Amino acid sequence: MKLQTKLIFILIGIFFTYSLLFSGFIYYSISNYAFTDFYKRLEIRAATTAKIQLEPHNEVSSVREIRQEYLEKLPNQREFVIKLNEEASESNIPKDVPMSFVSEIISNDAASYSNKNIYYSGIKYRNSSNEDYIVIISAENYFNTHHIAYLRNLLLTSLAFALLLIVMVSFIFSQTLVQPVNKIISAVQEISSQNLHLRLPIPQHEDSLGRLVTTFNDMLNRLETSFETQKNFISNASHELNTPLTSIIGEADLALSRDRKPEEYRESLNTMLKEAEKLDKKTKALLFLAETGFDGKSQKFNKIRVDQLVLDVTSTVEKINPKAKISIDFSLLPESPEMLKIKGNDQLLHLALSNVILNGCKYSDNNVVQVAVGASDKSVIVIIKDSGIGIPESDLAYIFDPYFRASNAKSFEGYGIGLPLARNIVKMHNGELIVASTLNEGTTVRINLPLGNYTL
Amino acid sequence: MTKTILIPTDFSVQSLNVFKDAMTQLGETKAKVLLVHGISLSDSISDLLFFSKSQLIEKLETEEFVSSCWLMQNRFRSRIESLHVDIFTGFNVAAFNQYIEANKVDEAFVPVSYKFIRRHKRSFDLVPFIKKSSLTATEIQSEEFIEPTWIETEQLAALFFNKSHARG
Repeated sequence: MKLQTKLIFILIGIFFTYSLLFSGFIYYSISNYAFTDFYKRLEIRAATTAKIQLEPHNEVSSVREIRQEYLEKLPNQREFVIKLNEEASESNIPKDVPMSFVSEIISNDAASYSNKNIYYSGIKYRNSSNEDYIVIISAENYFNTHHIAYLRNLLLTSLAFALLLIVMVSFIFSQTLVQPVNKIISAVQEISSQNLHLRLPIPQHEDSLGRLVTTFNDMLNRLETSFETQKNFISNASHELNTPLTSIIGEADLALSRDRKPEEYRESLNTMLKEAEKLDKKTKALLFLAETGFDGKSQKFNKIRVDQLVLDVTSTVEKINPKAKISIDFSLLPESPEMLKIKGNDQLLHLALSNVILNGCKYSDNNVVQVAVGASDKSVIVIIKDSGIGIPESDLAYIFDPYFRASNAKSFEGYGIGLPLARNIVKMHNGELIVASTLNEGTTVRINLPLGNYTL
Repeated sequence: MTKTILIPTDFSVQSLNVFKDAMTQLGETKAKVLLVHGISLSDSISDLLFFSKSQLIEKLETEEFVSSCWLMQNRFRSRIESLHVDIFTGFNVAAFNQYIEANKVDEAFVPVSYKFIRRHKRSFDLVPFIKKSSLTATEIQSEEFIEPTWIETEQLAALFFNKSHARG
C-alpha cells in the first residue's frame, strides 16, 4: 500500500473512532438522564395526587393550587389510587399494571416501571387516618419519543459530515506530509553519475526532512569526491605514465630506423634507461598513494595544525613550481595554538590547498600569491589571494563544476578538476570554500575549516 | 595596565585594520576595546518605541565583521580583556564627551586616510567627533587602505593583506 493511502486510512480510523465514541457517550448519557428525570417528575405527581385525593379537603387546597399552577399535565397522564388492605386484589389494579410492580411498591415504598413508551411510577402513602394506599402515575415519555429521536438523527448526520470532513482533512494532511518526500525522491532520481554535482534544495525548516536532505547532500558530497578523485587520478596517472613510455618508444624507433654506431646505440639506450627509471619512480609513487589509502576507502581523520599544513603545502608547491612566489601572512595567527588545530585528513587537505595555491600561481603568471591563516570563534580561516586574471562574473557560478574552465583561462593548461576537488575535500571536513574574484584583478579563496576542539 | 580604547567602525572589515594597528602600537598594554559606530536615532515615534540597541547592532553587523572580530580576539587573546561593539547616537561633541566619560575611554585610534562608508542611511562618521573631543586621538597612518566596497563578498581578506601589500 502506498504511504499516503496508509496515512489516510490511519487518520480516518483514529478520527472516526474518536467521534463515534464521543457521540455514543453523549447519546447514552442524555437518554439515561431523560429516564431518571422523567421518573422523578412522575414521582412528584404521584405524591401530590396522593396528598390531594387522600387527605381531608381543606388541608390540601394549597397543594392543589401549586399543582395546578406549576405541574402541567403530561401526555397520556393517568392516575390510579388503590387502597391497600386485605381486600386488595387484582380486581382494583388496572389491567396494564403488572402485579410484580405493585408488590415491588409495597415492599420498597416506591418503584418505577416502563412498558413500551408508557412509564409508571408508584409510591406507598399513609394518610392522616393511618390508611395505606398505593398511588401510581403513568404517562407517555414525550421526550424519549421525540427529542431522543431528534438527538439520534442529529448525531448521525453530524457523524456523516464529520466523516466527510475527516476524509478531506486526512487527504490534505497526508498530501502535505508525503509531498516533500516525493519531491526529495524525484530530486534524487535526477541525480546520476553524470551530474553528481547536483544537490537537493535544502528546506528552510530544520526538521527531520531537512536533516534527511542534508544527509543526502553529505552522501552526495562523499560520492562526488570519490568519483572526482578517481577521474582525476586516472587522467593524471595515464598522462604521467604515458609520457616516458612515448619517449622510450620514440627513442627505440629512431635507433632501429637504420644502422648506427655503437656510441649512438649506447646514447639512446641511456636515454631509454632514464625514461624507464622515471616510469619506475612514478609507478612506485602510485603504489605508495594506493597504500596510504588515498582511494577514498579509508580516510583517517587526525589532529592537524593548519599553520604547519600551510607551510608544508608551500614547500610542496615551491618544489612543483620553482618559479612560484608565495608570501605567507601569519600576522593574525591566534596566540593559542589550539585555535589552529582541526580534525582532518592531512593528505587530502594538502592536496586541496596545494591545488588552490598552484592555481593562484598559474593564473597570475607566477606573481606573488598571498596566503594567510587566522582563527575565528568556530573555524580556522585560510585565505589565498592572487593578483591574476580573475574569473569573469558570469563564470563564477560554474567554477565548481568538474571540467569547467573559465572563458579567460583557455591559454592556461589545466583539467578543470583542481577547484572542485578542493571544494569537495573541504566539504568533507564540514568546511566552506568561498571564491570571490574580480576580472583582471585577482581571485581570493577563503577556506573555513571547523575547529577540532582540541585542548592543550 | 589596562586601557580602554575606542575605535570608530563602519562595520566593514577594512575599518578593523585600525584596531589591528592599534593593538600593535599598544605593545604589551592590555586593552578593553570599544568599537563604536555613529548613528543618529530615527525621529519616528514607533521606531523609537520598539528601539533595541542590540537588535540594531545585530542588523548592522555582517557575518564577516563578526568573524573578523573573533579573528582579532584570537590573535590578541592575552591582551584583549573585552571587545564590545557599540553605537553612539548623540548629536554634538558634548554628548560624545559624556559617552567617553561614561565608558571610561582612555584613548582613541582613528584612521587617517580611510574613507568612511555609511552603513545605514542615518550613519555618520565619528572621526570629527573624536578629534574635537577631550580624548587623545592617535592617528593610524596605514599606507594603503584597500578601497572599501560593500559589493565585494569576500571582505575578510582585507584584514590580512593591506600591510604586507604596503611593504611589498
